Amino acid sequence: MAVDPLLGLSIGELCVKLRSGETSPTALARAAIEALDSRGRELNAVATIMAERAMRSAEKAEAELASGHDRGPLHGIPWGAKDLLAAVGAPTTWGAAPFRDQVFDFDATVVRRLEAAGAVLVAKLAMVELAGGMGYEELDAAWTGPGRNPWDLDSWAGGSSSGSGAAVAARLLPFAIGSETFGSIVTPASYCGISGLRPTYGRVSRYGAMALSWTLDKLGPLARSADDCGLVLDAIAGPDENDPTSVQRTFHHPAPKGSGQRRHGFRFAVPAGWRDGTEPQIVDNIEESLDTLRGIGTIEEVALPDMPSSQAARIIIAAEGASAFENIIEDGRVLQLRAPSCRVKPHVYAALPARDYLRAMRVRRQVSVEYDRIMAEYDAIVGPTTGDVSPLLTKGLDRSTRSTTSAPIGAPGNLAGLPAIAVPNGLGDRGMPTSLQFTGRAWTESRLLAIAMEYQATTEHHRAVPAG
Amino acid sequence: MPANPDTLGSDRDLPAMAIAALARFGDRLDGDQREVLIKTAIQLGQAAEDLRAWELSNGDEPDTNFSALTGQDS
Repeated sequence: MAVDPLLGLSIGELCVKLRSGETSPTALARAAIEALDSRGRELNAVATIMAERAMRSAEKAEAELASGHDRGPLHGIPWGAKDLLAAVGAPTTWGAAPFRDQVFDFDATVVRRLEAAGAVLVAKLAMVELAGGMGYEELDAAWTGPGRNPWDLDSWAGGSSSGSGAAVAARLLPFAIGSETFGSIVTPASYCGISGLRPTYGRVSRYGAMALSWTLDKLGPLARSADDCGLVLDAIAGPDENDPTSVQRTFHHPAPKGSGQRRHGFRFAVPAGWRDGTEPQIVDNIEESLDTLRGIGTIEEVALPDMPSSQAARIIIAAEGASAFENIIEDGRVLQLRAPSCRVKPHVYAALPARDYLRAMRVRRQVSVEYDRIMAEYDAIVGPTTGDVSPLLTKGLDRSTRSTTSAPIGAPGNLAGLPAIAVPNGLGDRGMPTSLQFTGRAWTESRLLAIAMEYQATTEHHRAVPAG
Repeated sequence: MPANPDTLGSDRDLPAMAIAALARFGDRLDGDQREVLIKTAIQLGQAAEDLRAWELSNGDEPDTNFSALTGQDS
């Protein structure tokens, strides 16, 4: 069944068509449901389609728009939630067999805020079991099966927000919400050729989201463009009394500039040694992107400190994950997880000494301070989001080489809670997407979005559509 | 130093985390799973070792953010 091409439009474009009467919220919701039920299932991107709730929300949006009650740019836009967000009307499985029947009777704060903005929740989207926190090495580590990539069904969609990445890339939904503890938004964005925004830690409430690592978990959008990511962040950002880590900080989505107008004067840095371990075609694409960025700013090379960031992140995720999932480790349900590695590793995580966790948190403080000092000199540190393109599903996950965990600023960026946006910047090996990442100082999402929007105003990579 | 998986013989010098995990959960794991457990403990132990090599002073506090719950001054 062919997917309705309207679902491939940006939020801004749909916004215009919804108000001109060229389409309607119910037509979009129906198209998204059909697309997810066909193409979405081929991709293993779907956990649950929420047809009843979606049509009810769409009908409400339609009536409101018809009566002149306009809730803003997301009004009537269909979207999908990573299946770790509680939502009334569907199970919340966390991607894991032991939780397949889990039901919550409330909506996560992010779901509530998007509902208030008029967006139409259509589906819960597949994810790596327990957001990958049990140390998966297999690419089919989800009860829904391996997340397939719309650019090549034999390649991986990335994780852990695999369904969010695949559904948006396949033009089944204009946007989705994913989560990132350590790479889980930017990796699927990179592998699937879409834009993904990891907000500053504390920018978006996690209430109602599965906890893996309380001090690292973040929620953010995956969408067609940086502009769309900003529109979504605008709706979900802000403090929430149910999440004490969420804070009141100003965020303004930067409006797109008109044609001929440019933002410029940005200060960029590239990490010394960023080419090491990066696939040659990705190096070429990043070099080309840097040439583009020279049109709107200066670029200098910066030597990043050699600190044990990835080790600290690994210890923190293991310790907090073992605590968050202590019940299934203790009672043995962890043995029901799909990935053989995930059935075993948590038993070790549960034996991690407290002093190792605290040492990791003490090193983390130093990493945060040092990176804040470095980042103060620049608007963004730029580099490849991942050093490789999406791997074939026949391969395992090689954590030691090129994936996002070894990207120049992946570990310190997450440890320090820094925002980052990943945007497509071409095609690499096997014709799979490559990605450029901008990482900024805490709370600078507006600037990062302005930069990424400038980049996308002069390039077409984000408009590339996977064949089939 | 953590044990090296390549040099582990029959009377293994197991890392402390593996010993603790096997003592508590070993009876539910088969032989292959025990091997994965030991390998994981070695890798995690190496990460912890790398962190111990990073110099910290007594004044270097952990990046945790505890605060007393709001009450009433009296």
